[in-house]
Amino acid sequence: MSYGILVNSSGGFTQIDATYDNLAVYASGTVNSSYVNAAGTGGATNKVAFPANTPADWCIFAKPTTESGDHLLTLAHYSDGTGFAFFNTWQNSTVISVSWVIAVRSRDMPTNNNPDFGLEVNKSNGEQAFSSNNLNFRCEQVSFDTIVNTQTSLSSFSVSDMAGVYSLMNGKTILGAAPSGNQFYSILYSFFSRFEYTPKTIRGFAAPVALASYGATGQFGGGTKTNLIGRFK
Amino acid sequence: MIKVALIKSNGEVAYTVSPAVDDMYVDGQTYNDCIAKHIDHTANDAVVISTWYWDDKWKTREAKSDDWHDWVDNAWCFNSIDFWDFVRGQRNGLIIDSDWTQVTDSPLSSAKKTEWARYRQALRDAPETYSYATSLDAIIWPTKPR
Repeated sequence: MSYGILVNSSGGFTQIDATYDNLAVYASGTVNSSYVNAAGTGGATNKVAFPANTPADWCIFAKPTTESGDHLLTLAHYSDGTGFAFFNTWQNSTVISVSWVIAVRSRDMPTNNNPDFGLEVNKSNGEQAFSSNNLNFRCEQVSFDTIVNTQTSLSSFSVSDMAGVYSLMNGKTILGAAPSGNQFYSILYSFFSRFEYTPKTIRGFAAPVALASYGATGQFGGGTKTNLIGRFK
Repeated sequence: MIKVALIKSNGEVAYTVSPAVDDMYVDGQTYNDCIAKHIDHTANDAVVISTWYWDDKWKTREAKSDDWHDWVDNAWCFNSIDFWDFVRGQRNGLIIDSDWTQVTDSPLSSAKKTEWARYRQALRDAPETYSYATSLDAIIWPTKPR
């Protein structure tokens, strides 16, 4: 390595080096969750618009602002690319405050004209790999799930301290449809992140998001999901 | 480091943002139909969203009490259209759930069928019966026949 700095942990893991970008906070904030009521006739959509010049390859992380109880959240990305919102499960109009983070690679961070003291590490091509002026993502746990049939509960992270722990929200998609309780409708399922603050777990979860017209096959699945949690420091 | 409240046209705070660099949001400028106002970076975001509103200056309000009130002209207004759309949706679901009781090959006795028909009529009448209602608590759905 001819440029930059290399910092290894006691376990030999690279914490900072000059080869790879870190994931840094481009913008963070708070928004109320959104919902569509059971009749599909109303609800509340609280959209966060992407800040100007947000790089295209963003990651969105989120957690409930109040770190207690049991909450399901899924990310809805507007198809016109202008923003995003967080939704509760179908038929659940409970609105919670959601803390969100747009994270991008450090090379895509805007120039900070008022830098504080600290450390910047550049790659050999001049791109930034790390800056202590950024809030950087600290990965704590990661797993991968393959969904089969009507499985709704995915792998679970046990977290000793849930304070400030965010879950990656994008990379989720509509899973499929299953029959609803009556003969006229099917229910669409999607991935959620489930934050359980009493047992201190964060897990993937498949839950209903909307009604669809009749015609479900009775199964959903075949999707895959990466589960990633961590803090921004 | 700044914090920004994005204000909707009705004065409510749509969401808050803490950008990586200060010049990402200019105070007073419009971003996607919302006006950006810089606020104290120590302000509690959830409190700002629920109880602050902009009316040429920051003012405070009661937090929203239920889904059927909208912020209009700097006051909470009951939205009867949304409320009754929701109630009718719930009511229609209950009626659909009992459709099987009225089909010709239903296994129910004639007396039971009549009981279910009365139940379904009470469901249909509910919007008129509870026309005064402004909350879901005020509506008592008829009991399903056993």
